[in-house]
Amino acid sequence: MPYRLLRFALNKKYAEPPMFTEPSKLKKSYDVVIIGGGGHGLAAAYYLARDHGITNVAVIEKNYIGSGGTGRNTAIVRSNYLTAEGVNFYDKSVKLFQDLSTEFNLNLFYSERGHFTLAHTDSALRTMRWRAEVNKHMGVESVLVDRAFIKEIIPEIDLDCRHNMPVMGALYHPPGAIARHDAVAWGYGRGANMRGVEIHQNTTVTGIEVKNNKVVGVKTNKGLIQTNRILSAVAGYTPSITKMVGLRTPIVIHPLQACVTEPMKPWLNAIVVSASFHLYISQSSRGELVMGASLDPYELHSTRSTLDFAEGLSGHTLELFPFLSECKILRQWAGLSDMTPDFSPIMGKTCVEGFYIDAGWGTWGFKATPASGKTMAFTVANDQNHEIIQPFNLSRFEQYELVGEKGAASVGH
Amino acid sequence: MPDPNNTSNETWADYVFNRAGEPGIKREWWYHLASGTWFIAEHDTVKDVFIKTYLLQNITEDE
Repeated sequence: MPYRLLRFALNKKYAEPPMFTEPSKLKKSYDVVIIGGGGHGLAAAYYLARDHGITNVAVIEKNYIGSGGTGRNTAIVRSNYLTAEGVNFYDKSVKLFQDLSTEFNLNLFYSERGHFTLAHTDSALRTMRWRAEVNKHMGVESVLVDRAFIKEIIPEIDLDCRHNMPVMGALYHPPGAIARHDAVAWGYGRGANMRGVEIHQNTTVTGIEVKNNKVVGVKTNKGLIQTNRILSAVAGYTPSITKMVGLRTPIVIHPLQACVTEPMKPWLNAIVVSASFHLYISQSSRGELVMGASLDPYELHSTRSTLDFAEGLSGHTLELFPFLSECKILRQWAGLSDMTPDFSPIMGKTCVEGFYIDAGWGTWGFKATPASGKTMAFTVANDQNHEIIQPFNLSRFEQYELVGEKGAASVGH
Repeated sequence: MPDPNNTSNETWADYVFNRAGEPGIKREWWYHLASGTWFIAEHDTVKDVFIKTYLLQNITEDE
């Protein structure tokens, strides 16, 4: 036994406090119950406490905070969307992200790298031009660039893709960034907790009590909570929660897989997306390439990952970066994507009084974390949809007012 | 399926857009590439297991 080490063990000059304190029991009632302790739920709790003085709040998380999509995404933050409503919303989020490390006093490793969406066809180039114009009109920095520009920023890229669908140009979005995704949950969680919000992990919601179309309580595996306001922010688990209040939604759950390679010397500064090859790739501050592709094309409520994903992704990556052929994939995983018909989220009030929803985040949720938290906190505090999320209300489907973002949100099929 | 000529916009939108999204056994359309056959599979969407598969002609009762 190395007794020499003991004196260091007992002497803590730089003691590390826990990120947040967890109460042992649920109270009988709360002003607001947030179901889901991911980035969105914790961000909403944070802004409820900080901006609206509402602190009698419980965040109920069935696993550990950030164990869902927040901990599984490929950490890309951008606002180069297609619709005015989408750009407006995601731009607000990007602007909040830029100061978030300072606000949290926690390093999020937020790194602006510049984001390329490669166009391999005429029609894709047209869409990139359309997005650039909409972005510019909304005050977001995006521009159409040519092959020479791409090659200068990313010398290692094979623009001809071995003569199979060569790159014609790209949408270049300088504010595009990556961040340490788990830390976003910790930062919001700690900030909320500091202001009086209770975080309850390992607590599962088993039912929601509704009387006369009004929310009155939440049933959990640790007891019943009385409340008049519930925010559901559970992404891939949304259908089970909406069923508890009798709400029908268009959400379908598909797995989305991702992987990282072994670390290597920094060579890729930019974030690269190819819609034609269903691929997005960036290099983390640890030197690993973080990669993702399109959804698994079937409904599944499981976070298993597959060989065919790794094979497909590798094949496409090597079309753009053939020199990576001997690089090893270190780890692969999956998350649950709550997909909507228009690839836009579902946010705001519902026809059940006191039940607010933040869902339909599919493959586009991480970048929206700060704006979603802020606007949902406003919506819950005022019982009124925040202006910029009004277009994303659940009622838009029965009014046929979809906000079509498929091309810009995802490398979907 | 509601009659599109005799239904409200809301009912039609519910039919077009809304889904039973919860985990469970779903009846899904699948396509066999090699033979070009469309068929129906009963799929456990939690365990990722196929319980039954059959051709459309073999369904005696439909919605």
